[in-house]
Amino acid sequence: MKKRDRMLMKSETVISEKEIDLHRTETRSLRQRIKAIIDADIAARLVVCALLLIFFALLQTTIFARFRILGAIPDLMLPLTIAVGMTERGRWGAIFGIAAAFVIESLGAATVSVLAPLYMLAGYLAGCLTEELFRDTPATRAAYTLAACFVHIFFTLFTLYATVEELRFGDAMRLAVLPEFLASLVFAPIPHVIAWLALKPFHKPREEKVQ
Amino acid sequence: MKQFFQSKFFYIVTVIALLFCIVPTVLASMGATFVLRDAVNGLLTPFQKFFNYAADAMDGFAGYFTRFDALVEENNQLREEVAELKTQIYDSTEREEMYAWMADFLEMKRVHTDYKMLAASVTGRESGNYSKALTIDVGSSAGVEINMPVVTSEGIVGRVTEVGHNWAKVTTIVEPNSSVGAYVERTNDLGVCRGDFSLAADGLIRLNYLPGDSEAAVGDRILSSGYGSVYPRGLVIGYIDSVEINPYTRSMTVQVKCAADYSDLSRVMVITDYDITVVSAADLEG
Repeated sequence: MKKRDRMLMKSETVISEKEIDLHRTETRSLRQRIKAIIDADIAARLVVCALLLIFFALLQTTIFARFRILGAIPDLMLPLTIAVGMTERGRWGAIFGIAAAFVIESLGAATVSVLAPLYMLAGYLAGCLTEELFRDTPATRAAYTLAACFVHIFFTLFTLYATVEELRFGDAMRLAVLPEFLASLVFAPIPHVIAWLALKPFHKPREEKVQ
Repeated sequence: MKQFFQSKFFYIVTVIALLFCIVPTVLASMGATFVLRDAVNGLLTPFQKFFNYAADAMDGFAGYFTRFDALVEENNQLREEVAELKTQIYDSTEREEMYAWMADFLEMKRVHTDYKMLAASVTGRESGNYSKALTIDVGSSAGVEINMPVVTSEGIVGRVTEVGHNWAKVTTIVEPNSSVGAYVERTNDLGVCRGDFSLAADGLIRLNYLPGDSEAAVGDRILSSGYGSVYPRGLVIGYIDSVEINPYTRSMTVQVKCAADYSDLSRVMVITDYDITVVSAADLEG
């Protein structure tokens, strides 16, 4: 009787170890699959963000600079940075902001570069606030864009006073600052919508991606 | 909220952002080009060209709606001409424009034999609302250098202020703070044309330092005087748009309409070399 019991216990132990091994192998394979998906996902997001950046920089410095709708060139990169920050969160927003500022100031003939801190903060805060406090809705996007464009006014004024001699405040507001503010707000939905559409596929539930 | 600004990541990106402000600004003030900036421009200039073609096409399409009446009239005239002359149009509009531009180019070469010129296309414009600058598709590889004058057959556009391998930035003469030595062709009065922020949007500049007894009048042509080291003498700057005389101080306020139309520039010429002629005030009066 004792011998039979011992035999039974031994066989059960063997079976359970085999099961554990199998389970471990399955878990490892699943983990590898998820890691591969995440790596590919990050690379694809980077490419999409770079393409968005280049597309809107070219749009701003060629077509919008040519037509000057509403009397000014709208700042498309600021709403785009906010859109990327809100979709991809703060870290992406901050890095994208610095890149966006550098590209747009390189393509335009900017002699004074000031936009990097503004874009970096806009992207970073939009991402952090979306993650921690407010949900990503059209209303929050509009609020962040309005706030960022308002801060942009001070950056434009600073640049104007740094580059133009004998500048009158009234002229600066009438000819550059207010038209730019209005044009940026009016055209802000374009980068928001395009960035949302372009980055939306990367925000599917994980199960859907694994399948 | 406070924790957003206390992370290590935030400090690092803030430092990077500040570097991206300081380094390009300092290098630009020294007249040097930031390597990364050169790379971005070099990479994206061909794409800018493509976007400019798209802008040209959109401009033509928009013009169909905004100038509809004028186009209908023009269309009728053209139909009549076609009926009367029974000729066919062989060349596309773009080709005709190119011929016209080439003819202007050759005419300019004929008049100013000492000029060595380089044709360039405008690929980009300013990105903000505080400057009037252009990007052209030729750079140091074609021999372009800083301070070379840029012109069209109509007149002066500006001067090269930044040069990359296959691109260059041109600061126009309507840009605030830019100045060109000038004289009134009819009266030979010397002055200095300066860009003015409040006038730039209308393509106007100020002509300062004219003598109090100058007889300059609206419509007079303003040419470059050759003073300074950038623009050769005799290039057209523009035409006097308005003259105001202060009845108490007798000082003149003259506004000049630039000859080159900055809103519609697509091709320009860079003067890479010219004979410097020393001009004195006595020569001008003589």
